[in-house]
Amino acid sequence: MNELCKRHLFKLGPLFFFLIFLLGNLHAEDSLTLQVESKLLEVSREIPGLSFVLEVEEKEKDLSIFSLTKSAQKGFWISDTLLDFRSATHLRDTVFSLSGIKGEISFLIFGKKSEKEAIHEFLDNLSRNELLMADVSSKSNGFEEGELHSLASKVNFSPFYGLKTKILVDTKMVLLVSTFILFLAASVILVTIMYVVKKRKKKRDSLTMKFKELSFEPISNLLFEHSLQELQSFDRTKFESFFPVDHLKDNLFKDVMILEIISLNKNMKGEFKTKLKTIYRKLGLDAHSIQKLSSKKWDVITSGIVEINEMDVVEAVEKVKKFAKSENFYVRSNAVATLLNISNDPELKVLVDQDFPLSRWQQMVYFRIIKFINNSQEKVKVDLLFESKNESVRVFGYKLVRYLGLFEMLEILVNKYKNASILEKLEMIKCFDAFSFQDSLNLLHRDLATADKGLFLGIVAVLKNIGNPISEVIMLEKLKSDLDFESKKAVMQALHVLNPDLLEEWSSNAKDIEVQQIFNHLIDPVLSHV
Amino acid sequence: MYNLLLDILVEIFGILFLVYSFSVISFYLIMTVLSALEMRDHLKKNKFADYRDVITSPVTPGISVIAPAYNEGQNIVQNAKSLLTLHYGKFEVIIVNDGSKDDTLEKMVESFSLVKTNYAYHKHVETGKIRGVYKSTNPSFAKLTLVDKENGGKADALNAGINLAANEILACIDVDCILSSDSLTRMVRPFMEETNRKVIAVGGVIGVANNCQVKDGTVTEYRVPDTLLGRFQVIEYFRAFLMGRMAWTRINGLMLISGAFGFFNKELVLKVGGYFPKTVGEDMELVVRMRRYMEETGQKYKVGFVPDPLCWTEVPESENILSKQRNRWMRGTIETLQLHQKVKLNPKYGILGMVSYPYWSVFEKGGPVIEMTGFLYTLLMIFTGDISALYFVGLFCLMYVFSVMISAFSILFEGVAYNNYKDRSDLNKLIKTVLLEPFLIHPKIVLWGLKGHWHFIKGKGGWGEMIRTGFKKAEDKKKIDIPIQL
Repeated sequence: MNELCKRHLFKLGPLFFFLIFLLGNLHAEDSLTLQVESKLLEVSREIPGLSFVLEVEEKEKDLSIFSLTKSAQKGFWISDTLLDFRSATHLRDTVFSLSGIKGEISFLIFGKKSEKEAIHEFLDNLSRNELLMADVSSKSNGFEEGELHSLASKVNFSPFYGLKTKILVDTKMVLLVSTFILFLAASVILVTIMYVVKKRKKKRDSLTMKFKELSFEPISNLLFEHSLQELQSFDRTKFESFFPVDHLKDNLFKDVMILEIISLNKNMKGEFKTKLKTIYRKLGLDAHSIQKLSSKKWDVITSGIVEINEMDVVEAVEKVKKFAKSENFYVRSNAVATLLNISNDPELKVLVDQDFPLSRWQQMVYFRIIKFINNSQEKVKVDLLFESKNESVRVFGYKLVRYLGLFEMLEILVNKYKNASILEKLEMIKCFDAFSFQDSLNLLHRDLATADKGLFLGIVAVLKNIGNPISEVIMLEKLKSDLDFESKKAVMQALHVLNPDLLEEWSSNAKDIEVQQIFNHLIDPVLSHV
Repeated sequence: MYNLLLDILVEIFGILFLVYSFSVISFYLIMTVLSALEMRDHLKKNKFADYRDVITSPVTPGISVIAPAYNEGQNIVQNAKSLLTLHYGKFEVIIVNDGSKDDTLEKMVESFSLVKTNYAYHKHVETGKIRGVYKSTNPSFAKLTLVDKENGGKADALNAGINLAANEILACIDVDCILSSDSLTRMVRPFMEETNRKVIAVGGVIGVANNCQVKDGTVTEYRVPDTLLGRFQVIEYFRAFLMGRMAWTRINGLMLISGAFGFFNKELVLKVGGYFPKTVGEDMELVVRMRRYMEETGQKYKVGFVPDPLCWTEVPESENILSKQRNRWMRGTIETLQLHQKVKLNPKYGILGMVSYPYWSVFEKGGPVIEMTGFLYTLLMIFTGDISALYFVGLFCLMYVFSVMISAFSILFEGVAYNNYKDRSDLNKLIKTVLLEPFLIHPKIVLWGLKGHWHFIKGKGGWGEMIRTGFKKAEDKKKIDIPIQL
């Protein structure tokens, strides 16, 4: 279509729609008039409340012969109020046939001139309430009853309303049927999908079982019947000759083999681990794991990262690095764990640079790896974590001091304590406690005045182990103040350990019931280990 | 005039029932899709979770397992031993004897060498009178605490346990439940994983233990129950736990964590005042109150759900007991919704106010009433001859086929996720139950639900009267007007 045509179409388009709209309106108007008039003609008697007036526009002729009178409106003749619509139409037709002028019937509801819509509604209401019934003609259009019967018996029966029409006319039915189909289709689709998924899973599971059996024996043979030197001297073709050739290119088979190797790797030690890694690499499974990092599915990427981690695929470090700040928790956690494990980074830079808060789950996993590195390889520089901008990383750093027994870091903690957040302080004081670090006492005494209940309880717990006579005095003073039950119990427990006589003396004079209860608890031999 | 009015009423009711039916179906379809997505994600995530470290790591949080016991003398020792052997590092078991009339206390004392102690604790939450706190003289049972108190109901007993709990996570369970040995390690994972939101509670799946083979506290072989009622509950539990709760978890709209197996953040439970003992729906009420607290204080939070099979219970197979259970559940639902009307359609409460609460009000609480009204309406229409047979049959078929489809989906869903019921004859029995359920069991469930409504109105059983007539006591009101303790 050329440009000119398009432009014409754009111009004519709105006009076309306007015409359609007008035609529609006219059609609606005509159809309403027809509906009203046909309904009125069905009723021969008067309709209560409804009357009619014929109005004829004629400026020259005298129409009084039709019993019309001049209207107040110039150039109009009107009839008397007529109660029967048939009389009104009869008068209109008479005027038209004798004078050639077409009059118009106006409708009055309780004497008030009304529009056709209103009349239509009025008649509808009367019909619905069964106040207006169409006349039942006693005539039989020229047929006698007997003739009609004999005629009817010759004509095949066909219902006036077909089922199709009935369904389509009933809006509720249309709604019901369409929704029925929609819902049914949706539920059938869902059940079918689930059925297909189940079948596929079953098939995959049985294939996995089959592949496990197929790969277990060759891996075991390679592992136990060949030395490491032999394995290292084999080329890929030689390795492949141990496995079923048909399946070696199957990704599922590769995945199953990797899982088998990883599982054995977790349960074996020493040379066997090296052998397993050799098998993994010589079969080109490392490339399969690295390939997974290019996937768009997070679970595939994560499984690739896990495999790289387990099999120490050091050359993939750069590729894993880009996932260390992934939005996805599982991708990020495993990427960081992998980098800690295989990137030879005792400065724990990947952790220091973490923007996301570390969850406890991540801390648990990272701690296992860091502990392993610290014990078997190079000493990790935990103090670098204290400089991270991420509070959860700093807190994790303090935890590591405690878990890894890095007492040489305590001085750093003392220096940092003053400006640390409550969360950090809580971890620091646990470190002081773990190493019975007396040098922290001054800091702890000062912070006993804290308004934070958690920190207060934490400090009291430390003082229970490392407190001195000054601590006893401060805590006793605290006991005299308005402490809640939990704090009171913690302080009394601490005093009971530090100076039981002092506590006993004070408790015997105290009138507080809670103090008595706690004291009885503390001296109960069964509860001594609780 | 009356004819016109009747016509209008019939028309309005017809449309309302139609809209209701379609809404139910739409909700179920949406839930089906959401639960499938959530389950897919859960199974994927599970592949990368190594639970070995959880037991020994110093990073994992401590758990206080609280189990109320009332007249459990027959099995209490076995159940307590089973709890003490759970695989987890830092945990304690608090059994609360809620004024049992049998020999629960004596058996516990005898079996675990328990002695009454001067255990000092603070009543963070008000409870009935505590008669004694027992600890064992045998260090092997150092993790066990027995609280003996006067009878006050399950919520009151749980509150007594909460007052004594020393760890940061509370595991509130039914003492007769069978827990998998790794249940604590798995349930604690959502609490440990979240980085940006506070996990306030985690719910778990309850499996049906009837007819199953149990070895060392774990179900080793799954078999469906022999009775139709039992089998119906197997399917119902699939629908409720694997589909319903998974779907709500997807949109963080979970409002109910089963009282038989629920994990809570202790700090928050104490902040909101513990369980509300004057409702029979204490489990749902606590979750709603905790969520309200988080919404009102503007904190990001999550209610988690672990769909792994970790807990099993015997379900009632007699109509009498099941009817009482359903009656209680219905009253619990009504009471909770009544207590937290403030949440209703309140955008301030997010998903809780705009989706979860309205759903529970219309479909869970209102369901039996609407279904019964619909049934009576249909009868009336048949009686007056005003019903279109086609319309009636169409709607009936739609509801039947749809209910069968959803149940079939739930069975397939379980098959894909866990495939516990491996025996083909078991599957056949379940399918038969699916086909019969709408005719033989659903009407009874509706009736029992209606009975729950009636008992709530009459104030029968539990604490219906108090909830119905409003809070007369200031302390009752205080419980619900959440105290903000920042």
